[in-house]
Amino acid sequence: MLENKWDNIAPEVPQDFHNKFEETLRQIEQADTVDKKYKRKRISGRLLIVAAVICTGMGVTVAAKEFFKWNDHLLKRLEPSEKQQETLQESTYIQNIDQSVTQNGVTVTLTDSVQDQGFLYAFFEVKTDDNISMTDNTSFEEMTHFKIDGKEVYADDDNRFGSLSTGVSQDNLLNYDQDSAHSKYFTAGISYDSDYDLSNKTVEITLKNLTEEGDYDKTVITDGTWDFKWTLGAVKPPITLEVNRKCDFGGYEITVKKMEVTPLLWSLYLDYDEAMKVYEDEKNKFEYAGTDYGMDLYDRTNIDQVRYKDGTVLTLDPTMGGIAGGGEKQDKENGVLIIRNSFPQLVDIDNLQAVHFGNIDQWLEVRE
Amino acid sequence: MTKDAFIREVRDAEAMLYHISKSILKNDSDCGDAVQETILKAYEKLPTLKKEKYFRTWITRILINECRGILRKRKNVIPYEEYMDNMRLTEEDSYSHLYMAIMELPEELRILVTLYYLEGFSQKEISEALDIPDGTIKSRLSRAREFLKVQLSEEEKRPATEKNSKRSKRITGKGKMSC
Repeated sequence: MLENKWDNIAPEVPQDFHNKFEETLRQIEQADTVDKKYKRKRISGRLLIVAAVICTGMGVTVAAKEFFKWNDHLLKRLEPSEKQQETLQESTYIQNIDQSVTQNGVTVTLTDSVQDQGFLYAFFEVKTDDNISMTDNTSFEEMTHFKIDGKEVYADDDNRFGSLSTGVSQDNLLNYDQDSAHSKYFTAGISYDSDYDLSNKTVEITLKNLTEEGDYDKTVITDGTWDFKWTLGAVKPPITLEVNRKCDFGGYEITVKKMEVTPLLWSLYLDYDEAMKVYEDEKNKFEYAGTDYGMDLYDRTNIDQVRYKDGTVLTLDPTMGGIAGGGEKQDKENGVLIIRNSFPQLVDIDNLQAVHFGNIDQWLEVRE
Repeated sequence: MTKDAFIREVRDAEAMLYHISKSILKNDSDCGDAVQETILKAYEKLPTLKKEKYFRTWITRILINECRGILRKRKNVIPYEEYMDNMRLTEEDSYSHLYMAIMELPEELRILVTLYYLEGFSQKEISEALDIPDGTIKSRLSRAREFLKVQLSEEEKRPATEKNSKRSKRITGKGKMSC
């Protein structure tokens, strides 16, 4: 088997390149200010005046609801069973928020939020006036603020979330096309790998400027900021299933110690030393043991089906991906490698019996 | 991030910027242009960098966009100078067999191998820099390993005297195709 020898194989920087590089840095050293440039495509002057009037009359509508109510978007998005529609109605796993902000002909409504141990998802509906059209490339210029418990999640002195990712984009995990040029669903969220508990925390999100994204630049199609603030309910802890059995992950026998699971999120705790063999082979050899699926453990543990206690099998849509993404955490101290990922739709965890790893065609019984 | 900190970070990243641009553009002159433009754009957009620890991913993303812009501008024209630069690449004795094999990979695999194996990016960082899903990165890395395995196996079987000449022909051909 060929061994990789990656050290020191890349060429040194040539002198000509280095000279140009240093010259560029000198230009910056001599520059006074940092310019921020954006191409801006503004709506016409007449419309701008109308927009300003609407802006002054901007308001936030808050409609508090005691019980969660399913709407068409969430039903299509999360595909709950009828039983789940009932049981989740009284929990705070999903909350109706219904806050609307209108600016310059664009109404953004925060419809619902989903919160779990490790992620928060906010669902937005964006509606525009007839003169403002959206495409698949429409997005917000940035999420200016994303505060949890009064503090920006990206604050330099903030280590609450460990490794995290955030963002706002059109909801591309829908299993239908968003055809309308004047109504689209967006999601904003945070996914993280620390133990930070979102229960009862206040969340603030500010979205800035509706834009059309090109190859290199964003064109602002509507100026504005849309502010939202809401308080989360209690986040129910995951169910822990003591698995303690070996599973063949495509040529690697690895002990699965336990599985933590919520309706949308799961974590597998794998034996550290056994699991790390996959990473060592991936880094140091041109092929894995067993069949080379081109996968590390994250893909080898991709769950495409779940089986319930009564034997029924739920097949998950592999094209949808998990709602909150996932990640890996190497915890050598505690002897585990944790793979975290999410389901694309709600799973009935009280009745979960087994999970199927689609890429390696392997079932794992997670309950006795 | 202050101007001084920016300059310090960029200076530390010089070799990385060179290797990444070379994995896309191949010739050194284009690499210099791409990196120069990248540094200036990054400085202009510095206020959009949310956290300093993401500097490496952020500037890589700008660089890759810049390199792809240069490739698009070429529009399949192969200027003589570029052709000669590709020739020069094949004559560069200091490149290892493995690096030459990497440079023969298709562009989408070259950039991945450079980021992952040579520059030590995590798959998550690559996903953010290239804006492609984790799964695609994994499958492309797998394809790249397969390519490299075949290339280097052939290289090992070949008598030493034939190695350089055959390799030169192959890479020159690829250089033409990629323009």
